[in-house]
Amino acid sequence: MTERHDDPALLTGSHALDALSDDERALLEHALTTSPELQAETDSLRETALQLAYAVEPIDPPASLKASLMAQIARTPQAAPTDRTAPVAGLEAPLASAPSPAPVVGAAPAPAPVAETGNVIGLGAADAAGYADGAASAKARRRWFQRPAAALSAAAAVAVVFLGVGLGVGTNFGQTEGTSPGTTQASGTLDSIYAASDFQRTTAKVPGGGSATVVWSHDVGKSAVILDGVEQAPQGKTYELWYIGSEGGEIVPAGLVDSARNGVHTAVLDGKLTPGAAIGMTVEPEGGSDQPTSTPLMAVPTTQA
Amino acid sequence: MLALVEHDTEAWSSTEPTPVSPDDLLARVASGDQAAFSDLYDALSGRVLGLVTRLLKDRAQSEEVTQEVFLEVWQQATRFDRSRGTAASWVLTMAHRRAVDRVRASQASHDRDTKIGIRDLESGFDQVSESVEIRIEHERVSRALAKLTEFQRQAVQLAYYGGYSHSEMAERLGVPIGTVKTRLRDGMIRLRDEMGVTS
Repeated sequence: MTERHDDPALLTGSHALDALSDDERALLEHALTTSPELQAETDSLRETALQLAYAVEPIDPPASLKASLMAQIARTPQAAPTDRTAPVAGLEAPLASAPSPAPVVGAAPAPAPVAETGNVIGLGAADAAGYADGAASAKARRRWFQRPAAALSAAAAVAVVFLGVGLGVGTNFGQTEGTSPGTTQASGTLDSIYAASDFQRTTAKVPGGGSATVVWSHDVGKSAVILDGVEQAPQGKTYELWYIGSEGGEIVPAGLVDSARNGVHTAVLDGKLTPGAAIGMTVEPEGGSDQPTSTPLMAVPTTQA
Repeated sequence: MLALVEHDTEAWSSTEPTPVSPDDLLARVASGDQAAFSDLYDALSGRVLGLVTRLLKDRAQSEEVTQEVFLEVWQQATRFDRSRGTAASWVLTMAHRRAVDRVRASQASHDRDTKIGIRDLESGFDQVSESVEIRIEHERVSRALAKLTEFQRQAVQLAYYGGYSHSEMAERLGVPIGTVKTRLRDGMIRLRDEMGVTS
């Protein structure tokens, strides 16, 4: 893919969200001077970003803060009015008083986020050890977490199957941008998960391509799986979701994932998420199974927030 | 109170509604009016501290940044260009920018990717507010965010509430920077259209 990384027209969204590096911001702002359209888009997206600010709960500062501020302004001179062409908020001209440390722009790798570590398909022994203190029963752990060799070879086999399907049926990869979510009926529950204060997520790569993002909230008692770029299940097969180890080590069916239309599919799991449960996905015969009949494509423990 | 809410102007949550608009107050601040500054602070400081705390988590640091923001408001009020936006947006934009700078600066020494941090920033905003205005705003934003794709929503929330640069996001999400840019732009345009923002 030969994407132009330096096209300023692509930067308006990032600008509104303050996601740009200094260089990129300079690039965009230079482009704004010659493009009223770009300026209009930038302004409208900045106003949009403010809507995100309005949704945040205000916090009243302590009275001492105001007192010290009032004392401070009484002895602080104001800037001389200058050119009206200065960009709004005067943010682009850093103040002398502003602490302006160089932004860390992905130079050194950030510490791996907790929720994104170890969520590997076909979990290895080391990963399993990390999760072994969960409430999942030993039985479930054995089945889902402690077969690294078997899981690996099975994953490889699945990858081959997926490849074959991809060739035969055509692939849905890479069509996720700018399209609507695969399904919307689940969005109410999904939103309540996202809005929960104990919202958590983890993303795992799926053998054969694509990724599965699992989101959950124990407060809401629900979880959902979002498949991105994951091929449809092979002919005559379906993806089935499971709650593992929630009730005395049981593995409970939690619904089928129909198809991965547009490469993105969201499925809210049936039933209730209980503390200590893991969320898994397998390939099953069409119509689903009562118990898993294949090695999980993913198994994600739902830690408590 | 509800009748006072006008989303296309400003809907402030303050329990004591300020009789004068922030724009008028800021105009007076520009001429050195300290009483107007006091009123402006009363009207906006809760918003500013709320937003900054959302990004920084740490209350002491957030109060510090809030103080910096308002000091800058005082100093730069003379340069505020009313034709480019409202006083409230000017102040909140400044607050967000400073919070982002601070979050990135402290990232090297602090592990901001703690479990708590991720949970908080990706849930985006608090659930239930006592304020009718905030609840309404919250619902509007929730509804609009729901219209985004999962990946657009994730990118927008990571950027705005988490303070991530798009290169950081690209690294974290394992996608090209161009993809992050596209998600942010498409997501914001979608959000704008859903929320009927005009500018």
